[in-house]
Amino acid sequence: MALSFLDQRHTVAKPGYNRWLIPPAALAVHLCIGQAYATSVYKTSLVKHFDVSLTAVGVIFSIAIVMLGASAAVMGTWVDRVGPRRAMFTAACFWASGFLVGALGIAAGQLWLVYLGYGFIGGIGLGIGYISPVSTLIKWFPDRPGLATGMAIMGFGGGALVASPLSRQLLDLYDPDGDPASGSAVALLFVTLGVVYFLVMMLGVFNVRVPAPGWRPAGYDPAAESSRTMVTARSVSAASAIRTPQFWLLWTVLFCNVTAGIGILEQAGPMISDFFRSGGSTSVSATEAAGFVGLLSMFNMAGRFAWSTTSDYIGRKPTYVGYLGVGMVAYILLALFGDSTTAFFIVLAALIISFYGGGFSTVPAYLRDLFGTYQVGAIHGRLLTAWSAAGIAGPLIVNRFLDARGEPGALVAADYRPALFTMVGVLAVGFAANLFIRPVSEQHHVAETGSAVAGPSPA
Amino acid sequence: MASTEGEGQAAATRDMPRLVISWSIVGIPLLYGVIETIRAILPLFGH
Repeated sequence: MALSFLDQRHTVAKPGYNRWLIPPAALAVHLCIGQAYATSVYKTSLVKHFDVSLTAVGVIFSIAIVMLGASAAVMGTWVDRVGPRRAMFTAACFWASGFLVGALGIAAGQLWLVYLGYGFIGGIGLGIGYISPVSTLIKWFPDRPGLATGMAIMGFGGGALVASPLSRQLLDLYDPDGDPASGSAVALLFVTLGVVYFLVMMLGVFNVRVPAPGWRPAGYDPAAESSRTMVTARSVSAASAIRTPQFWLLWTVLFCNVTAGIGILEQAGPMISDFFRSGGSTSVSATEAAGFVGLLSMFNMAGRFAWSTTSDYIGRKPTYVGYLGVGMVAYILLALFGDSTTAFFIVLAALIISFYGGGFSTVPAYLRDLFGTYQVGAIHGRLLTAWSAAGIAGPLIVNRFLDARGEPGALVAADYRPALFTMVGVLAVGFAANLFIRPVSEQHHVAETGSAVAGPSPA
Repeated sequence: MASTEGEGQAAATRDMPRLVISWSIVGIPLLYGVIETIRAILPLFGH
């Protein structure tokens, strides 16, 4: 009973509730869970503390990402049923508990506890947290769903920008002389992050509301929206959606876009050094390579907001034509002329990464256009399995090609060409899949659920 | 049940403190992250 304020019926907004309070609620969750991309800060410390390989420590992150995809897919229907407040609260509990159990594992010298804590428990928080605000935002912003989801999912990219310097400063505070920081300093960092993230995510829990049935923003005409051929006024259930070709075509689009982007993102630091290597030495210093990785993080975040917002004006399908089509051209230019100047290399890589980020934030709005708002959160959760699959495929493609070409630290630009041209092929598959996407057949529409922009999910 | 322009303005005025606090709680850390990242990027451009 004490937690009844989390019930969906207590989250229906009163008349006049300001919808601009919803994006910061969503951002509060996504900024916190975006920490998952900042694990490199304490990786070396954990390797030394546990006296294990880098791969063994990397497994922590891998478990978390696999659990993100799995929990988003499995819990999506539950998230739509219970509403955003209970989902965000649950995500906060899992995410914070993950840090605390992980801290216990570090303090006790038990790596398996870190796998269980940060990886398994925290990973469930990641998945639920990622999808929890999406369908609510789409209902509050039926006129600009791309802008709304772009703002939230930008937070996931921004979370790493916040967590990286913050974690470095906290580690310096907890272990001023450590190089790398001691295990106890990392354990303290985990406790701090767990507590702080729980409190920030509570801001989202208390601020989030669902619009009252029938609510729509001033000046918004749903009839005008549904006159666009790719935007439906009807809805499709999550169970039906995964039986439509549109779902699997969009799954392919997301998979290809993420595979291509991850290929660069994962290899960014060594890649810029290798592209400008000549006679065994590179003209790019380690500091500059680290700066390049930071720059890509910025474009990853900016692309999530800018391109998703643009999709509200030009349509979702043309936006993905841009991500995949222009992405192909950018990859070809990178493969053939990327080593001509550093500036040219950086511009191409930044453009590709902005499309990678944009692909994530535009996809919920694309799902809304195709399947309506009824169970868009659950459908989004199932679609995110494409992310998990791409997280395996992207690095695998790049690493296999590079392993075959030589030793790390001795590679040059030409060694990247087979991997980059493979990514062009991957993008071409996604480009074709996007072109095949048509409106969903009426046979998949659920019986009248009210307006697609009305009220909380009846699921 | 579309909200009107007048309702919207009244709500915006009433909710202003809450809006400022909510956006600050997420905006200030994000700004800190962006500034720190720009500082890390500067060596790439020879600064």
